[in-house]
Amino acid sequence: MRLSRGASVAELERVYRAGFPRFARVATAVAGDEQSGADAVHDAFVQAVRTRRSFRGEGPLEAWVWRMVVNAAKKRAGRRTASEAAETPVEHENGFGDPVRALIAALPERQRLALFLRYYADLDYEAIAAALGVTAGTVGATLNAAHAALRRSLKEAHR
Amino acid sequence: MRDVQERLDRLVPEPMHISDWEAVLRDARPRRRSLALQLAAATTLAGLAALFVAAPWNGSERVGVLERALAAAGDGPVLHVVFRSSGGIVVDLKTGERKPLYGEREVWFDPGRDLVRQIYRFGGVVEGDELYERNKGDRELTALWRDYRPALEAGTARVIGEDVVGGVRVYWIIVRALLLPDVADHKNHELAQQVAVSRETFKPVAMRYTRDRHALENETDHILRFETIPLDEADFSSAPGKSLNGVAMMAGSEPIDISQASKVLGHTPFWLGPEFAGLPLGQAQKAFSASGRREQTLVTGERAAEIRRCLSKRPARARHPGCPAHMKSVEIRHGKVYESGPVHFGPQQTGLTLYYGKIGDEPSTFKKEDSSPLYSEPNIVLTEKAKRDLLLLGFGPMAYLPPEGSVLLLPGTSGYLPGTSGYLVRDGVCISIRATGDELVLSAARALRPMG
Repeated sequence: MRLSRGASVAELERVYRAGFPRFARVATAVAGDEQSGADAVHDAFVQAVRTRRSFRGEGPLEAWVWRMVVNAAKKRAGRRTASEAAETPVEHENGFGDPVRALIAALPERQRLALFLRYYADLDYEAIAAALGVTAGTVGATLNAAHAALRRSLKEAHR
Repeated sequence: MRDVQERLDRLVPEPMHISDWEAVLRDARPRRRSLALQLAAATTLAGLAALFVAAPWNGSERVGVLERALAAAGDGPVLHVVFRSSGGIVVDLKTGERKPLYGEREVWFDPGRDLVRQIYRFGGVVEGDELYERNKGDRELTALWRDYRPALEAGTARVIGEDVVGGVRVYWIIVRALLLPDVADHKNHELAQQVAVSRETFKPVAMRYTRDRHALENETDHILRFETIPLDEADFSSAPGKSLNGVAMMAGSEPIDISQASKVLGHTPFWLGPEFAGLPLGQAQKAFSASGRREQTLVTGERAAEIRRCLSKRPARARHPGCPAHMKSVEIRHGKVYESGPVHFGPQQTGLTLYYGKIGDEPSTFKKEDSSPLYSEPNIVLTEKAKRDLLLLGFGPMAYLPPEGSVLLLPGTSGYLPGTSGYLVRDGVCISIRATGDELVLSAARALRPMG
């Protein structure tokens, strides 16, 4: 039987204060809007505080929290129904719909999440792996596949 | 990858949401059980329950603080606040006894009319009295009126800790917080507006601005009185003679021979002898100043309406036909439009300045000279005249005069010159002494004697 190391409220507060903008940005990207993203971060940290004693200390505390934030954001995204998403007009500052939004939405979930964690949270492969529950090698392959898919789609969109 | 990065950056900009750790803690508290269970628990585990509720959350106590603060804020339409402003120390020259002395700023603010009246006092003496329309610079009023009460009402305010401010036990409350990026380190920082409420009265006793929960230097405003009152209890009758509106000043000095000192001043001056504390009398100066008011004309009718339209078109107003060429000469006060004209100065005041210290070429001046006081070296500057005067005697209070036999010490308030300024009255003559420290000012004040 393994003993949990546990995390203190103060440790979680440090992670929260230091990383809030990054957590909020990734959660916004996953959940679909800023309010849902902020709510997801809130939900994740409420859960982290409640279950802090179950943190085993096998990896960084931040990675443990990232997993909760991603899951909370996915949960929030699930509440947005397909019809709501379809009714939401896609606007872009150049006046045209942004093709990137649609292209990213079309990516497989793991590729999408890896992209968000890489670019919005600036996490390295190890941290992304811990947050998504996969190996670092898988993260590399996933990101490569996401980049290739995006470039291919962008070229096609510009033809 | 850069193209992907750029596109992702555009897709989801950095969110503007404010972090709220206290809300996380509040929602993470164990959920309340049913009343029956609570009662059962209360009867069997009363002592233990108290222990667990108190730590680590103690949130219910803090919610109580916010409710009481809201009740103490009152709901009158006019805000009446007295702020304590910076002050000095009055030192008895015989006994050395020191008493702190503060300035006060009493403010009435009527949000309905956006009207502000402020009275400045120092040592209980009125130094200024202004009546004007609120401007963006009144950040304390903005904080205490626009932000404080609404934040308490909306439940967005939160208690962040306990403290002692000016001898009063307080709770600090965050009223408003923003996460803003700093170009210096490319990180987001929490900039917050905090109000301290007394733990006894729950009324505000201080306010401050913090960055990442650390108070900015000299940014705590002490509040001596806070209330919201009915309109008919508010005092918006200002004393125009005390207003600083339109006040203009000019000043200068010229070196004189020490033998002319009595003639310039009109009586025998006080001095510190030919040398004091190792500093030779380097230069005597005839100092002069005059104060006046800028002519201001009330503008009415179509012309006033045109000016209002011009002001609302900033910054393109200068190109707008009919706008005054120099819009700086136009202002709106108390809903009325005024155009400024020339300044009319009163009679020139003369005083005597004695500089103790080295004389030489001051490198910051345009011309190479060998007779400039070197203010960067140790020095004492003694200025005297028969009447208190802002420019001749420095930037201390204008109307307040310390009792004879004492000195008012004000740190770093002599314009651009560093050090301490001391103000005193000796045989009816107003004297200012600026030197590099309190003790030097006090020893000079004790050593003053008639020139002769």
